[in-house]
Amino acid sequence: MKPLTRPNPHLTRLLLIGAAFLTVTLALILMQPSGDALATAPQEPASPQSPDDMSVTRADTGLIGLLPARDTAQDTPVDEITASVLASLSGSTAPKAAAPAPESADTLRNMTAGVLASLTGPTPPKAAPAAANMQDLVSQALRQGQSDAYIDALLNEAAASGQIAVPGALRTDAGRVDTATLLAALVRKSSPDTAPAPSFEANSQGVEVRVVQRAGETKRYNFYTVQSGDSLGAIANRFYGDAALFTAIFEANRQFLSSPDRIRAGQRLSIPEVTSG
Amino acid sequence: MRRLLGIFFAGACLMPAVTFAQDVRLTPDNPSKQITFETGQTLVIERIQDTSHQLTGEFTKTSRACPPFCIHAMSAGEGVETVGELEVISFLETTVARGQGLLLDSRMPDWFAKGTIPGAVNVPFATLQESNPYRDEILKALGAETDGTAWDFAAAKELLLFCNGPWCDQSPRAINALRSAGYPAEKIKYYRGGMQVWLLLGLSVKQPTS
Repeated sequence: MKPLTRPNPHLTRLLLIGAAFLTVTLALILMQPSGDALATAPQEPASPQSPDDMSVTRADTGLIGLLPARDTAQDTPVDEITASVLASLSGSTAPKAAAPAPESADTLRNMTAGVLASLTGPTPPKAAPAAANMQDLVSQALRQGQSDAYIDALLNEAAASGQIAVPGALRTDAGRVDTATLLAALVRKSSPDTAPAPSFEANSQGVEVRVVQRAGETKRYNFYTVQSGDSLGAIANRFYGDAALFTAIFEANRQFLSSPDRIRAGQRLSIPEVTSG
Repeated sequence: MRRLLGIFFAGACLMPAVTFAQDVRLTPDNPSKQITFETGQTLVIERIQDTSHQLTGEFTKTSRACPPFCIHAMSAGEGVETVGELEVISFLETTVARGQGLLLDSRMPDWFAKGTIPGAVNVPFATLQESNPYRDEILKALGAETDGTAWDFAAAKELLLFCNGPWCDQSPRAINALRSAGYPAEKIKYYRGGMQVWLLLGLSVKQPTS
């Protein structure tokens, strides 16, 4: 099927161009995987196992590990590699020869606590032995002379991780622990004489007093609009001087409140009179 | 002739595209694996898609001094099954996801913190050794029960242990410690490749947050 005439010059040219194109394409394809620019530039995917301080030479990195020893590996003296391995592993692998020495009971206890925490999920039974009780946690922090802000952070963290149970009345509308009220309650408990007088008349924000006179009898109705950051305990503390009396407010507003921790900013609560000494 | 040339051209144009679209899969059937635990936690195991990627740093070393970094036998003890990556993944998918087993990283906490197999729990080998006075607590957390004298491992979880690789003695030591505590061999598996081979295959690594 050879053409009888001289080959078509257009076809020859086309063929030449095609061949050239193909050569270039093939060359590019073949070069691509080993192209250093490509290899180093775009992504250096997660290899968190590579500490920066390792003295690994370029020759080493080019060589994917586990191959039988090659000459390039000798660029870095074995001693140095060993030293850097040992340095990076010191205290972490406890080589057989030195096994019993570095493991003090304390490290083991801490590690065991960590293990137990990760094995048993979010509420480690043994890992946080001291923090079982909220009041203990607070009094401990107070004894250490910690600031209110610190105690606040501590309590919220402990509550968030489920280490302590926080009474609903001490939950603010935002779900945080109302540390200020808790502290006030503790102070009041420890020194009842110096407790702040009930600021019933306090013309602070959200307080509303209605006086109704009916048949010779004067009745006062007190209302309070929940402010951002309030807890039921805080409100009780403000009106009665005692956070523990939150139940009176809770009972009086049962129809709006499903539980003491379910107050919302903007809610209007009726504040009953309490007859306490 | 023309048609042949056309096919030739089309092929030449398409080839680079085919090269770039290459998929680095786990197996021909599985591009990646998504595993959801009972707790609702989800993890994905896939491979690095950059076909020119190479490891750098610690896990490229060939000649760690032996001792202590010696080559370990395929078996970590009689009755202890040695597994590979796919078995690790299916162990996560079936046993761990259903709460019947645990993937244990036997390395010390600082290594664990640098990155581990997704879904692994850190139980450093040292905490399983008899010298740890708190070891019983860990055995209990693994599901073993004791009446004060003898241990009952009937309800104990299946364990799959790994460490840094075939040259790492931490998971074999942990396995020995478990066995000498009475943990049944058929409940223990050993992933000998460890982090070294896991990384070499470009498989997903998780940095524990807590």
